[in-house]
Amino acid sequence: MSVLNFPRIYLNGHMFWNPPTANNNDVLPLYDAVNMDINWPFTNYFDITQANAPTTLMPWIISPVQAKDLPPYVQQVPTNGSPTTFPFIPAEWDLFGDNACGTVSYQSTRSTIIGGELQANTYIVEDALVGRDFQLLGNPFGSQSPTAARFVDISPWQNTFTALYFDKLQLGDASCGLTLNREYRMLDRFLTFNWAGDFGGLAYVTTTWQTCFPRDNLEWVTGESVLLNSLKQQMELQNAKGLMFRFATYLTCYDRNGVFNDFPYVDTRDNDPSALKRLTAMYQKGLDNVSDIFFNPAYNRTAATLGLWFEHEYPTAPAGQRLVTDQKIMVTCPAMPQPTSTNLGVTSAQITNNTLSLDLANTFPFYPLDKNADILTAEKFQAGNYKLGVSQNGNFVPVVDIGFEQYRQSAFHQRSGLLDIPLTAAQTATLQSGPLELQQQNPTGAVKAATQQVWTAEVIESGTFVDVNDHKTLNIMVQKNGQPAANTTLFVAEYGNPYNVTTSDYYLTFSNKADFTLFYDHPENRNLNKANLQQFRGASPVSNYLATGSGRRLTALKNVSQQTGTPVGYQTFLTGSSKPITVPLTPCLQFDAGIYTTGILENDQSTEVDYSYVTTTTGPDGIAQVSFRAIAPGFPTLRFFVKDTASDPDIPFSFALNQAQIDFLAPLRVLPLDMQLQQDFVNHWNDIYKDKNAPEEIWDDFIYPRVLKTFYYLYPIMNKFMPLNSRTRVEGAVDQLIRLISKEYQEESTLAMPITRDLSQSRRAVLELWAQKLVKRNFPPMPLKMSDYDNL
Amino acid sequence: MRRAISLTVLSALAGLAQAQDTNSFDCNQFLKYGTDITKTRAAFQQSPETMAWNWFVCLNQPSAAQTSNRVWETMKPSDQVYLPDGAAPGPYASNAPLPADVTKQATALGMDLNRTFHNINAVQQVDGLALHMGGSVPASEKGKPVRFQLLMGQDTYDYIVARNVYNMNGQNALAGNLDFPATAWELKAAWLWIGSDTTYRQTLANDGYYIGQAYYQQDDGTYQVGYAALSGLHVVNKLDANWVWTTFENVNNSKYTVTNAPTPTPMTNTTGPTPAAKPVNASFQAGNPSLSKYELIGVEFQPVTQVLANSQLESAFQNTSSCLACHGTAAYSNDKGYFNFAIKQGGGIVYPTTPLPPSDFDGYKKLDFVWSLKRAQWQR
Repeated sequence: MSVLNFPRIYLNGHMFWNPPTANNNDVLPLYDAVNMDINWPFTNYFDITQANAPTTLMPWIISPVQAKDLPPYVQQVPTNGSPTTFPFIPAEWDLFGDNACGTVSYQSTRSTIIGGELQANTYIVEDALVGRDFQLLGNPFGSQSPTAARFVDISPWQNTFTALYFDKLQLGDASCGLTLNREYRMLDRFLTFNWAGDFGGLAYVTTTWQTCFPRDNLEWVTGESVLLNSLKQQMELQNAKGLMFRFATYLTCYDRNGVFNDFPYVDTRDNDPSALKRLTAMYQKGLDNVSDIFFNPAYNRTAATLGLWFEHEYPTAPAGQRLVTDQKIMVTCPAMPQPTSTNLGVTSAQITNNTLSLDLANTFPFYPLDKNADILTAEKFQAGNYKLGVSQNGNFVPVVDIGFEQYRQSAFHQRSGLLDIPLTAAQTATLQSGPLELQQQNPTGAVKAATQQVWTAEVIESGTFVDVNDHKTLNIMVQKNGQPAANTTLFVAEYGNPYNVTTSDYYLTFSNKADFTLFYDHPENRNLNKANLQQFRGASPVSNYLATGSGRRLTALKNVSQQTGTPVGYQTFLTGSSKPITVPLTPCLQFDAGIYTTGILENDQSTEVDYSYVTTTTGPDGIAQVSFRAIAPGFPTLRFFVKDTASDPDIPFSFALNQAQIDFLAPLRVLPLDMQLQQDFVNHWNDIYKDKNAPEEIWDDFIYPRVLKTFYYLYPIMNKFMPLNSRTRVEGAVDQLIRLISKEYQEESTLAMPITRDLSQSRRAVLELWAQKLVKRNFPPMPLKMSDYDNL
Repeated sequence: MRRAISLTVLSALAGLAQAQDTNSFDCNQFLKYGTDITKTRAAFQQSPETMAWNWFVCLNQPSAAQTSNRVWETMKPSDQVYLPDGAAPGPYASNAPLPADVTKQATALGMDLNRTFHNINAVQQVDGLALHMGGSVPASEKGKPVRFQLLMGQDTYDYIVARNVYNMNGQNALAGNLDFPATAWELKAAWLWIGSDTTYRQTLANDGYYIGQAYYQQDDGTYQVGYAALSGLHVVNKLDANWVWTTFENVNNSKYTVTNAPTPTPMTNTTGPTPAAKPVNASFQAGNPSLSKYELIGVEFQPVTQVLANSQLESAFQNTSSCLACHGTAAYSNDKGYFNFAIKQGGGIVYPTTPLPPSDFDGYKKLDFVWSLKRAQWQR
């Protein structure tokens, strides 16, 4: 099933990612994303206030800050205390980013269709489709000219979950190609964050993306292409639901202007004062004049497969049998003095007609051959030889061998990481008896590198934005050993992250004032600070870790067990001077038929924790539903626990961020409701509507300061298209504004404003009322009513 | 396909035939279509492009009443029609006095106070975006917007005044649709700001730009006063019930204006000149040295699916720009306000290239293609 089936079309190339980095800061809590405002309590530390911000905020954002200039709490946050981070420009590496992403086809660097296979090991490179470009495209913006796809981190402090919004995937061109119109946006999966820690940077991270297209969403121009014709025929013959597109991204690099684009080169990793001064000057020029705006996207390699999509397959994540890491393995490469310990990523497996097909796109770690090359080239680490077999009664029964030649980069490159191994009937039978196991062969003995994940659960609506008071139902597809799991009970609980910087660990949300040690502080060297992954009494202890650097700067991640340093309590950190960097672990969701209970933490105080969870059971199709009402703004993450024994599954109080890679999580964003804002707007207009300058007043007193100002500061790219501090320019684009801020577009459109979709329903309501009842009617001298919000 | 090509060629040949005689058109009373509108309609039907050029030539002759200005420069700018607080505008021929600071700066710069000073405050096109200057412009002008103004002829103005729709109170009180007279004219001009840079001014003059005098008010209330170069001009009138839409621009615009792409590229026109316009352009350019660097992009007058754009006025949405279809949405509803022609489609925005069905305007009062009425203000 899936892209592991045949026929397949292989694609590869490069991708660009162009985020605005001032509002997605890894290190500094500049943006209060829960409330969608500048984090004024934080900026006040630097004497930047709402009143003086027009002249002080942007200069501060684009200028270097030193560690000594920061409030202490910034570096107290575990993983956020690396001294090498500073001096640091709060705008980070891409101030003018527009959230665009897509494939790169620039000069001789192309992203193309490279081949395909109609059946196993019959590789085709001579085809009318091969050599043509492919691209992800966005929705139309008043023109037939293509627009970019967009990507948005669901939470600024969870870089494990990124949504990719697009309108269509375009393969080839009008003479030979295929247009695939979006049905499902994408959410990255299997981010191998631990490889960044093991090998020293995000360049080593791989992630997997997937989306599917129903048949009706396909526009074929098969031309002379055998690959396209076969894919179309087989889709129909095999009664596939449509097509699946899966791709991996890897080998991320930064500061490649002039290599993949025409923008001026900048080195945003250079901490030398002269380099920082140059970057500040370039940012200032871009703020002063739109013709000096420049992007500095991140780039990575991509390898993709287009294949068939069948009933019961997750649309947005690989389904079927899945192998996940078990024990650590040792890997090496020619320049590595000592082998390094690491984990394998995630492997999907399928047996079809005596062929074992494995998706190794995310399985084996890789390294850049030349770190200093303009365009990085990867090779896989020598990770040894493997036997894939099954575990029978605790004994490993090997079936097939996998060696370096099969997973090395050239093989990966040719088939986008897919590997097909012919099987005898006996081998097929053995593997089908499962569960699968992958063992690394070593002179000192075999290492159980990966084992089959019995259960998988994926949420179709993962990454959804909901409003406070909204009622929402999520569909969860549950599989056991790759097959839909009927009548299976799940426990669902809500987790949160306690900090609004870096990427932090997950804690169960709770409704009482429970206190516990949040982290251990090392005032003399905060690089040693580490989280306390507190657990309930009687639960299994969780191995802890120590990270060096965060976000793009993550360079090391190692397990530690001994807790040292000064314990810092959650309540103390949440309510003290450090409050601007915290996010309360209170629930954002209220489950329908939720079960409310109290757990006791394994600490000296035997802290009681009041929390809730809900249970749900899958139907015959393996799909369960969970419903809730959003009650508070924030970034809840749902975690699913399968009840596969007579006992209820444990709901842990906390888990480490690197577990997010393979666990069953659904990130959500709850946007705030502020009815007072809506009432204030109506009241204010009714106070001034007869004034001769009422249109200016309502802008100056309300629309700009209370609705648009935050976005003006955080999305300076808007200066080029719609300067959000200009009444004339915003009112002059009111027709477009009305369309792009609509709730309908927030869910899927690549043009939704703001591009990160963080417009609260109250701000949207005010903007819509202002736009439709005032601007579009040229500000009639008539009062507004609260009921006008209902008639937009 | 064969038939379409043949028609195109024939159309172009017809235009060429008409264009041979560029000097025979009588500009006298051309804004009223001379003495016989029927003859003008017939001539227009024979070669719309030739008629468009004839009008363009007439509009660019020195004004009989104000010899230092061209005819079109004496038309009524919209900022003197739709006044603050919805006030009634004065007589058509009476120009509002220039702001004192503008006069002061103009005098200091040695500018001609007897010539028109165009108020070019507007910087947005109908898609809400600005067109930025770049390429060969001086460093001081890079990234700054091209500027726009709307002007109208006397019969347009008189109708607006007669129907009291120069303010919102009048538009709100309308009981039905508007219906402008056949002799209604409107113009929309695009300008490259020059300021007082004499070298740049000469460069643009050498590239065939008409240089006008202009000013605009900045966000801080102060005025910029200087010269500006005419980069584009829409010329429309109601010779036909769907109006006649013609547009001209300077052939060198790609040297001075850029796209809004991440790395900007020269702004070009992707919709024309149409095949029918090309031979007419060649003929009229040869016969009119002062207009030799302007070209007609095309003419619209039939309510069909079509695109036509001026690179200076519909820059980023040229391939979805139809003057007739877009202006055909000019409508106002007391409850909903002005019609939103940014159509929700495909998860984004498109603009109409085919006239929308009448049912889309249920509850609206049609404004007879005149979108400038949007600038009206309420009396307070």
